[in-house]
Amino acid sequence: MASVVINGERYDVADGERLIDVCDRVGVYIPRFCYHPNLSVAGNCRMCLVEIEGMPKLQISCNTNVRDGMSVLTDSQKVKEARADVLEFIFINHPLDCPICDQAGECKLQDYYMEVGLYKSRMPQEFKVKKPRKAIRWGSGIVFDAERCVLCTRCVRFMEEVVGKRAIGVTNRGDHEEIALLEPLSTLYAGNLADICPVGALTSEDFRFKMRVWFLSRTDTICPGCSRGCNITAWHKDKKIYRFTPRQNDSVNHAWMCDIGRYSYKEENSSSLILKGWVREGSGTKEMATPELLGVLAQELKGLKGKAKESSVAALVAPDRTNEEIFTVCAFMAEIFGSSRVVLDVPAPKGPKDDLLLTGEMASNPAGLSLFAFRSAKPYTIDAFKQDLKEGKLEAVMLFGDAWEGLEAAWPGMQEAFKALPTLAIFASKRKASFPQARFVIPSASMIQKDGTWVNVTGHVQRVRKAYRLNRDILADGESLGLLAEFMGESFQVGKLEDITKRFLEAIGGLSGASLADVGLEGVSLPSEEQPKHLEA
Amino acid sequence: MEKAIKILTQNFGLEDSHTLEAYTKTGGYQAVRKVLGKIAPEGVIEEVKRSNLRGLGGAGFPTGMKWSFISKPSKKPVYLLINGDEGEPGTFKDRTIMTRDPHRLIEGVLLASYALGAHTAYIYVRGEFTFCMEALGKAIAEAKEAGYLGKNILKSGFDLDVYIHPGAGAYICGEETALIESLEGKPGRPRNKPPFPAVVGAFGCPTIVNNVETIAHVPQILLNGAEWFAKIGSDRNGGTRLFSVSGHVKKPGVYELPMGTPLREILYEHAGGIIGDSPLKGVIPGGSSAPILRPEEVDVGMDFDQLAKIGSMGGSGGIIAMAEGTCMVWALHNLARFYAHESCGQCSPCREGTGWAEKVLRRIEGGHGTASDIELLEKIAKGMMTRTICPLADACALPILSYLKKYRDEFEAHVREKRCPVRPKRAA
Ligand SMILES: Cc1cc2nc3c(=O)[nH]c(=O)nc-3n(C[C@H](O)[C@H](O)[C@H](O)COP(=O)(O)O)c2cc1C
Ligand code: SF4
Ligand code: SF4
Ligand code: FES
Repeated sequence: MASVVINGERYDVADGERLIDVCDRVGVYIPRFCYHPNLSVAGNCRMCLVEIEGMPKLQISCNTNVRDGMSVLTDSQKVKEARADVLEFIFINHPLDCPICDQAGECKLQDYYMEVGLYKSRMPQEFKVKKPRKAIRWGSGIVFDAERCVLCTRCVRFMEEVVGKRAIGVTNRGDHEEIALLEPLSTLYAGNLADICPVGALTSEDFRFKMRVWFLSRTDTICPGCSRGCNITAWHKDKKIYRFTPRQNDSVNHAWMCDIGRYSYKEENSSSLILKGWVREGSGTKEMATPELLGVLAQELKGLKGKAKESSVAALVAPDRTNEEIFTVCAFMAEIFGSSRVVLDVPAPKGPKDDLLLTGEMASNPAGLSLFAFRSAKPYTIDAFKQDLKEGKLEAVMLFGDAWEGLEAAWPGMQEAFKALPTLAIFASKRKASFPQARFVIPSASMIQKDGTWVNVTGHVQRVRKAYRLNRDILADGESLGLLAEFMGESFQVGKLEDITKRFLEAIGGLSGASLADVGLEGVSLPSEEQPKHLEA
Repeated sequence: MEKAIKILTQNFGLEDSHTLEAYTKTGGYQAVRKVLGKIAPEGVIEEVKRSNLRGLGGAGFPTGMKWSFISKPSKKPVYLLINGDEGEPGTFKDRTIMTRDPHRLIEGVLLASYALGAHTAYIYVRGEFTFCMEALGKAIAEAKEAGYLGKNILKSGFDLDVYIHPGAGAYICGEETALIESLEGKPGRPRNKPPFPAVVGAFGCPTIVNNVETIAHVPQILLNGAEWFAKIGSDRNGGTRLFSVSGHVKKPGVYELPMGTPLREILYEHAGGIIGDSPLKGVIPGGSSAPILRPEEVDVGMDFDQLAKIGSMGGSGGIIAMAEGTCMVWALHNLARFYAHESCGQCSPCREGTGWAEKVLRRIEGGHGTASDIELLEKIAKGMMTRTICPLADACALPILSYLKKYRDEFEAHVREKRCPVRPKRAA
């Protein structure tokens, strides 16, 4: 432990901590272009200069490790002058094309320019170094503009240090220096380049010109793409998501996300979602408001009451549902049908896997599902379910979720096997999840429309957050099950989200006593002995 | 004039001065015999410290002190890098040592490596200097043959291999950390410090970078003693140095003179005075990066401290004399063009500032400048100074500020008359 004084205030720091990180942590403002906490220090932009007592020259705070007793000024006249000067240098060869630049609104150059005060350009247009390469498509969804580049080399370092490829380099010297593509990016992580570029030199082909960022609202949530659960921000407006960008979380994804997850936002928008439910009647389908639909379903389920109801009804939960939904489905089955026939070992769809983020499990919560399954001594497995189905024991099956591709891959003829069922109901969010055999399709809230938690591949419990609900027919599964019970003449209290989270965490062990608030923005990790075991096989 | 003291150039007059034979005949490799295995490395460092030998590459850092930054024993290999990049405009002295007396450098390398515990040394030679590499290559082969390099040198148990590494013609590769990057096979871009090379240098290992001339001094220091060397120079500036004199002097060339020799003596006695006996207009005392001096300042003693005291610097010892009739705007523009071309481009202030300054100077020189351009130049220079990774930005800024201060009227005249008043024919 050490202590430093910044602008007269004393702070406790870890000896050797990077000064710029300390300032970020305690809320002291330091402008920067080149520094990125998850990349090596380049120290080339010179924006982060600060005054350190005993040192005649200003020092860059990104390459300064704090020592006990260090005294720092970040707002002295000397520092302010240096910042303004450095900024002017960065500006002189920069084009003035903010009105047609997609970075506008989240451009560091623009931000600092406003801060330092507007000065008239002392560099006549004809004097500027011409870098004619504008709007060059680099492939992998990235567009490059040489003139806007401030040569911070974040992109170079990202490719080299994170992706492990020398695909981007610096050519030439002096003010003719230019960033260049040395070989095709061909990586599933290219989208991060647009995020880390502090200016509009690297932009996303997908997002370009679609929307000015200042019109968008943000919701901090988790990527639904794979079981890494990268922390993200969903940017949306009028109930439409425009992009996902990663949020820094060093215990999960640092500051990155893969392009599969990044562009998966499209599948979370209304054109991919089930907006209204339906029931199959004869050879056709009939759309219905959800309460009405649940009423019809309730009648069918009630009809089972005379029979051995606990053995004639089963449910399956896909590995993309929230912990709270898993818990609620199990509670519903137990309370209403006295049944423990809930299949929780539904495998996740397979996908790309690498050493960086992609886990190969293309669903958000396989770990939560398997952890909850492990709690039971005698789980109702997929094999037992298949057996029951084959023997014709089952009258009604309810499916919860969208990620069924894994199950289908492991079970050829699955769709066929469901055919004989008198009642098949699916509570799903996405169109692609609808089973052709299902008699009932009930619209279930997608990730952006609900609150809850997921457990990631390393046992990190994280929060998904609701941004909006598309319409009144879309319900969270808990809400649907509550209604269903009511229509069946039973009572099923779903309870508050906080309570369910608590009970789920208690049930899986290891985090007893933890609450939704504890999960917070950063998530909480399960102790190592409780971490998901399903991956070890 | 008392008899001139020659240390580095004592053999330059000999025929075949570059051969092992010529060197050994005149006392060469005697220091190695005296020191290796007989004096502890710490003793060698102590001796060099007391000699007041200063780094002659440009910064004038005390050599013995620099060597003591290598912490011992080092778990990693230690490297000695010899800086033979000689890129500073107005400097042409290291090449004379490398071609005319390469064994003196090799003996110095051997002694320095012994002091540092280095078993591998690289001589980084400016790319254009193929003739130096040729001479050095031959000398290294000769020295190896004679048992002065390789394994168990002179049965002392000390091993050393010396390699030549050609540069590729970039001024910035003379800066020690850019040199290290270049040696590692990367583009020559200076590194942020800390860490300093003595802690993390070449290939991640402790490294010392020294100039050719600095190291060539070491054999005689150890042979004749630190006091002998210290006494030759001036206060805290030991021995002699090679002054490269060029510009409007009658006898341009390399002159070996004691540290602290007055600039006037160098210009008017050794270099024969100004061509056509014209009046002197200005003189750069230590390579292009050194702030310019006016004629009334040439009585300064040429050592690091005396030059620093009057706001200039000893630098590389490159002296460029400019006679009356030289356009100072043109001269400065020439310099700025060099720095803009050689800026490695990493630091925003240097990358943009050097190019900007060059353009403003071009404008003034061409008769298109405005009154505010002079202030702008000043502002650009101040804006980039002390705010970059390496001192190249300062090397461009300091001359700009000195020219503006000392020859301001000439800049103003250019702006006012919209032409070059000094050399009217050149004006646009
Ligand atoms: C831009 C720049 C260029 C340099 N060029 C050279 C050079 O060509 N030769 C040299 O010996 N030192 C050069 N230096 C100085 C070196 O960085 C370093 O200080 C020197 O090699 C150390 O040796 P010394 O202590 O023996 O002087 C240069 C420095 C800078 C900033
Ligand atoms: S393209 Fe962007 S990230 Fe890359 S060097 Fe330029 S400004 Fe930095
Ligand atoms: S000061 Fe100039 S030459 Fe030195 S590292 Fe920075 S940009 Fe490169
Ligand atoms: S952020 Fe420190 S130099 Fe760029």
